[in-house]
Amino acid sequence: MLVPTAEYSSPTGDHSFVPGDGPHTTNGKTTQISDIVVKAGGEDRDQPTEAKDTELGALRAQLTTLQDKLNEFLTQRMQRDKVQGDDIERRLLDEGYDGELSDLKRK
Amino acid sequence: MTDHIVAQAQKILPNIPLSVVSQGAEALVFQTGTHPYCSEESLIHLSNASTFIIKYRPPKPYRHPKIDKQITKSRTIAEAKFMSKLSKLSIPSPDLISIDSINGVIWMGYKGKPLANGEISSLKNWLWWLEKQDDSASLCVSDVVEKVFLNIGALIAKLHLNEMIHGDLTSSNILLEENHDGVFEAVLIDFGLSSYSGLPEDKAVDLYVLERAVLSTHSVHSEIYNEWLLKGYNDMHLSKEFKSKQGSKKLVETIKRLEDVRLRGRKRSMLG
Amino acid sequence: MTVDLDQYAKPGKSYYLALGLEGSANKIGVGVIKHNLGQLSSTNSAEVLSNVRDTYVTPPGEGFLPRDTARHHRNWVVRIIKDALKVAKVSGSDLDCICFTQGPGMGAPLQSVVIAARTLSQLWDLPLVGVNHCIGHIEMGREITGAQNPVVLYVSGGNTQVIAYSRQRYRIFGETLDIAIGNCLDRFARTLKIPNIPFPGYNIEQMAKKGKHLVPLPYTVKGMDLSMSGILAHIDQLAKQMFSGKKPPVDEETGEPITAEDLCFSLQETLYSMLVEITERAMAHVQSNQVLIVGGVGSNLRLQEMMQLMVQDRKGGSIHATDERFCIDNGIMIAHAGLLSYRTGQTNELWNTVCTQRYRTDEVFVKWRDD
Repeated sequence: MLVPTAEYSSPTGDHSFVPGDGPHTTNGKTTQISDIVVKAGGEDRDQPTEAKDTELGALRAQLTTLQDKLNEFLTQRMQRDKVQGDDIERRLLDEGYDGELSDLKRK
Repeated sequence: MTDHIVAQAQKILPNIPLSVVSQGAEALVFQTGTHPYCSEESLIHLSNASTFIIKYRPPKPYRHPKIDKQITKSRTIAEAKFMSKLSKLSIPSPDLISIDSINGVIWMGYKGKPLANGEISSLKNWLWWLEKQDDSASLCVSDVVEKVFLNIGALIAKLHLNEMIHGDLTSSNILLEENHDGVFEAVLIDFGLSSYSGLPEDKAVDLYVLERAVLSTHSVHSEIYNEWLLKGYNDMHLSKEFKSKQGSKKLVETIKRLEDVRLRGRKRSMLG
Repeated sequence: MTVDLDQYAKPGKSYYLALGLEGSANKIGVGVIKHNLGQLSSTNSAEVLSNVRDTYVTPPGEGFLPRDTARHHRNWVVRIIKDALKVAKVSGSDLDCICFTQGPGMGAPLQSVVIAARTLSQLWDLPLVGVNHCIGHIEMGREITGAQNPVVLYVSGGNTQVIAYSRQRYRIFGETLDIAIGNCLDRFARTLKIPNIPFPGYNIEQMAKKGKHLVPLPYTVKGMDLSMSGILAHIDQLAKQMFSGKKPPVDEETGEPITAEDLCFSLQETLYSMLVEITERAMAHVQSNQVLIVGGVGSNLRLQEMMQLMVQDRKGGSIHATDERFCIDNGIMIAHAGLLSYRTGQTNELWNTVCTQRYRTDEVFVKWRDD
């Protein structure tokens, strides 16, 4: 069976990610629609389709779990950096900032 | 078709012989031998007195009549005022003869001289003509061309140092006139979008608009052309005439702002 | 002289097929286009085999955030690709290349779509072709309308440009100095809390039809460029006064109260007058008499009507516009422009498929034209 893995490395330490035992679904925790949209009364018609009971389907579901783990890890790291971590995430994701990360931190 | 616009102009200017020189975006430009108030005898004493230009801003059917009336009137007045101010400052531009702001008509002196191919001697037509003449392209970047651009840069500097903004600087709106020594001198025209401001921002946008027009219209040599323009602009700011009038300080402010405006252009967000 | 477009044709094959993926803003579009060998002409035109699209819609008063838009594209891309292939009745092995929007646009949505393009390229062993979104609009507009060498007004959510071709580049003669036209309309729609379905500009257009009073707004044309942020600030202020009931604006002549419909009407009349004016300025400057309108805002009928009136007053003038299948962002235009690029040997290696949010129209070398 195909199992996706991910490696993170930085000067302050390395980290490995595996999907784990599951259960796995394509409905990830960190890949939901923004709160803003839900609060404004928007409905979510863009849910991912459910994973099929095939090898590729299982891979999709496991990837979603892996992505969740990665996202949680990275969010935590950004918050720990204490430099307006939340703001960096927002600017990256919502404002389409495409410059150097170090520039963002300096501000 | 433009025939009906010519007919409109003829209605406003009855019995005045009109021949079309060009159709610009906002105005029709006519040539005529008639002066609105000088008698033919008195005209003999004027130089270049046999031909005059009539610029007519027709109503634009696409615009709401309220917007249209307002624009035609304000631009016609702005243009006439700007011309009269330029002539006081001895900056080369057509002489104002008369104005009818409600109908969008300005009568002015004739400037320029047709090129060898019969076209109006605008900077644009001249550069295009040079390009066609010469495959090796050396004509396009000759000393003559350099002098013309330095001259234009200096003219724009003079405007800006007098807190005057052209508002529509393109290579179509600069005419070239050959003086007695065979040297080309630039003449500014088309002041419908002109304004008065001492702000570095307004001056910088004025320069930026021209820089972009040169880039898109004369792209092959645009880099050196723009360099010459800015050199002419620089030199005038640092000349004796403006030394006592904070020329160098104003130059630094405007050029710094120009860099900002350029950056805004390149970095403008394309987000929806 | 024309460019040889068949140097890279597959032996024994009399046509080309390209898949195009677009996702630079809030729409994901996938299309399949077919070119036969030889120059494109009125008798040998490109054939649209499929053109499927889905739009990410937000509730009234909300704009689309990149992260939600990217999520929309990610979760729909496979379904839309399958759909497009099914409608076109082709399979991956029939294709010559995979074309994708490389920019300009919103980073996250662009990235989510290019990943799909890369995956397909690896899966089916096909070359990738990165396409500039604006070039996609221009080339599709030329192909559909038959306009040979027009001045192009490109108006959309993120772009406002007046473009003309010269020496193998589409050069920008005029553009906005601040915000884009579609952005200006969208933001005003949010102020008025106008629904985003089918899209904000359409609803402004419908309301504008009922407007009677023209409110004076700044008119800011600078040469062939224009500025819109001052107008937006001004009309937003009027809307706020209207909603709050404090000093509600009234019509100068009749003294009647100004309505939301009047504001929509005034905004459209002012903005579109400026757009038509800078287009006419560029036409006079480059001595052209053809106009092509492309981009989402190009589907606005009032803008088309005004452009038509302008063109009528110019000698031999003609106007060309496409319907919403082509002027609103779509995959087929990416397939078409990408295929032109492919036919002149321009493809992207995998490492060179990074998307860019800022990608100017005049950066693209137009190898398929040499007029």
